[in-house]
Amino acid sequence: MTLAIDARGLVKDFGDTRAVNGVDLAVPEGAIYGVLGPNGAGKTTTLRMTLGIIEPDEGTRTVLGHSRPLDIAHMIGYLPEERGLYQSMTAREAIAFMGALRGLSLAEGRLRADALMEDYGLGAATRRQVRTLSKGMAQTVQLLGTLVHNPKLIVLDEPFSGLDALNQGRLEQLIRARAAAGATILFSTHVIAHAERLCEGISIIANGQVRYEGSVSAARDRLPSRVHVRTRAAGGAWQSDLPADAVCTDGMWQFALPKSGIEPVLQSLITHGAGIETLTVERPGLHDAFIDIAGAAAAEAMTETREGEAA
Amino acid sequence: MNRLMASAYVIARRDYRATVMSRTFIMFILSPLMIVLIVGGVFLFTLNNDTPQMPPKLSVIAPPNIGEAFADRYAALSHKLDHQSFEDVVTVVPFGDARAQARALLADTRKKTNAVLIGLPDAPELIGPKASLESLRGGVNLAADLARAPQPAAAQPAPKLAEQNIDPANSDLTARREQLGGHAKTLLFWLNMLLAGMMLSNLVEEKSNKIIEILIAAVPVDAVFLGKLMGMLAVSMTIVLAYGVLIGGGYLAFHTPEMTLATPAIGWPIFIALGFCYFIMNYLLVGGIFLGLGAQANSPREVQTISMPATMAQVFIFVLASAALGQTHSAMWWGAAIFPLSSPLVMFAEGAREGAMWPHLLALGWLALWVTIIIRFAGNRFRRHVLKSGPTKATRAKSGT
Repeated sequence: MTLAIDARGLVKDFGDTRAVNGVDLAVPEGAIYGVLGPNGAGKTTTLRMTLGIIEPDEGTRTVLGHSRPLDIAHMIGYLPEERGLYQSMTAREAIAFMGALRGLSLAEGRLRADALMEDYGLGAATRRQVRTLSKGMAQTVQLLGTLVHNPKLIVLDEPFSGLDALNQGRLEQLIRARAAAGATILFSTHVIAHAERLCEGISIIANGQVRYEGSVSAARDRLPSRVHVRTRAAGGAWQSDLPADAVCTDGMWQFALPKSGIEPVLQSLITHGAGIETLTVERPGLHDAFIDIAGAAAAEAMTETREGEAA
Repeated sequence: MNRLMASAYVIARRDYRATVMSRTFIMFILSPLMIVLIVGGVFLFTLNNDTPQMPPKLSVIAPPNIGEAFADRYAALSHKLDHQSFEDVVTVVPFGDARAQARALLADTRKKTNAVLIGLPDAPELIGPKASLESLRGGVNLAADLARAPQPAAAQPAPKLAEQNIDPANSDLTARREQLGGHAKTLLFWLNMLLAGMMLSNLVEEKSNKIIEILIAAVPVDAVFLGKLMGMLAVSMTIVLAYGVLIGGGYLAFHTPEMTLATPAIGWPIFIALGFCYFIMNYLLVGGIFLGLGAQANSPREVQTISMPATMAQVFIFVLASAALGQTHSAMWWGAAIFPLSSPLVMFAEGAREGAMWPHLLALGWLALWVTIIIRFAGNRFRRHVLKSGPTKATRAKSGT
């Protein structure tokens, strides 16, 4: 498996704060890969270091086999988190300019801009100044400018933020289409649903460190399934056979699936006549996995702070 | 290197188009011209008012008796012919070489001497600017002839009035070339002041609109710096060319003898070419520094804060150059000629005064060296600050950096 991005041990300090503390990132070629993390986790800094916008204080990175990403700028498309366009340019010129920055001729860029805008249903806005566009439209223009030179690697920093549900859906389609055409896509998000629907692989970053790296399904498998039971009888001998972490809310028992499986519990419920109304065993979503991972990290950060104050 | 220049070109091209193809650009070009027109209009108005109060004079360099005889005839003619094309006559006692004395008289602007007549009675010669010669020659010729008539030698044919056309006002060429040099220096200073200041605010749009990250993600930071510098240099050259055509055309069309500029010692074509070269050097030096400084600013407000001391520094350098020009080839002059920021001003003025070419080649080489140094140094500063403040502290705190 060839890696489109292979970053190891990335470290970045801003003054006294360590924004990124030894992050590894391995994105296979052709994959849709997500970097998840709460705000302030170090996602943007990691992406910037990966793309050579800022140099890491420690660590190495290879992008499409090159150690200096700027040398292959024409093969990379990057949508920064802070969106920005020249306000006085038309949408078409803005897209062509972004292409020119990545080695496309202006004439070719304009042609492609027209086609991209038309395809996206924004043909009418092609020659309008950026300042007259709505925020969502301007963001789409910038996204198209990121893709105008048909990059092999597409890096999108929080691409879904600021888009309505309709446009989020279209963006997902666009990402899938580009991946199907052979591009590698790396994006960051703090909204789990996008990563869950799109990504083959994810990294969960919290507190400047990678907490989890791998496939979405493996992340979900980290947590045991949840069991929900509702009984007709309010209590009974079966209660003592429930796992220790079982909690009852409004007559609904919840607990993690025990290692021994659901059968012993079920047996006890039947034997003691609990009267099962509902019983579900649910595989945890990425959301639960994320809260588990990022929540643990947050807890760790709290501990560190207390230790720091004590020292 | 090729990729660097190609990237810089992309940046420069956008900046050039964005600046030149905006509506405000026309205003930018026209606004200084409006000031020139207003000041010029006021100047011409006061000039017209002054003329009747201080009538120009015709000076006659001759022994008193001969001079008076001519003055009498001239006054009589003037009376008969209703004062047309006649001037008040003043007799000046000869002193040394008559021609040199005549030039000195013409050079003294306070005396408002329009023309000087020498060589009476037998070899009259009228010296002065062309316009004066044309309007005066008839009356002077006649009066000189009449003044000569009572003498015994009257049988001889009247000598023809010789004419010497010399430049008006300050006929002392060196002084006038120094004056031209002073004008040249002032022009260069104003152009630079007007145009280099744009560099300070050049990066604010990119930073406040967050475009900077798109730029530095795609091209080397050095290319952004060079591109900005080249783009604004191209804009400035466009403005200078526009001014040059307008002012030069206006001068050729409307200049009066009093306004005629001395020909620079090095000749007009080379002088103008030197002006362009020194302007470019000056612009790159000051613009490079300003761009490096301006990269530290995050908002137009911060640019304003920086621009005040920057302007003061420019004025200081102008004052230094002016003082140095007052004492040619003094220690101060040499200092100002060598100091890279004042050197273009001083050396451009030198081109008006001295004809030698090699000092300019030397100076341009020296300045090119400094441009390289400053671009490297300012480029480094630029790189550090652009990256440091790409995400501001506030955004970093609230976003996923």
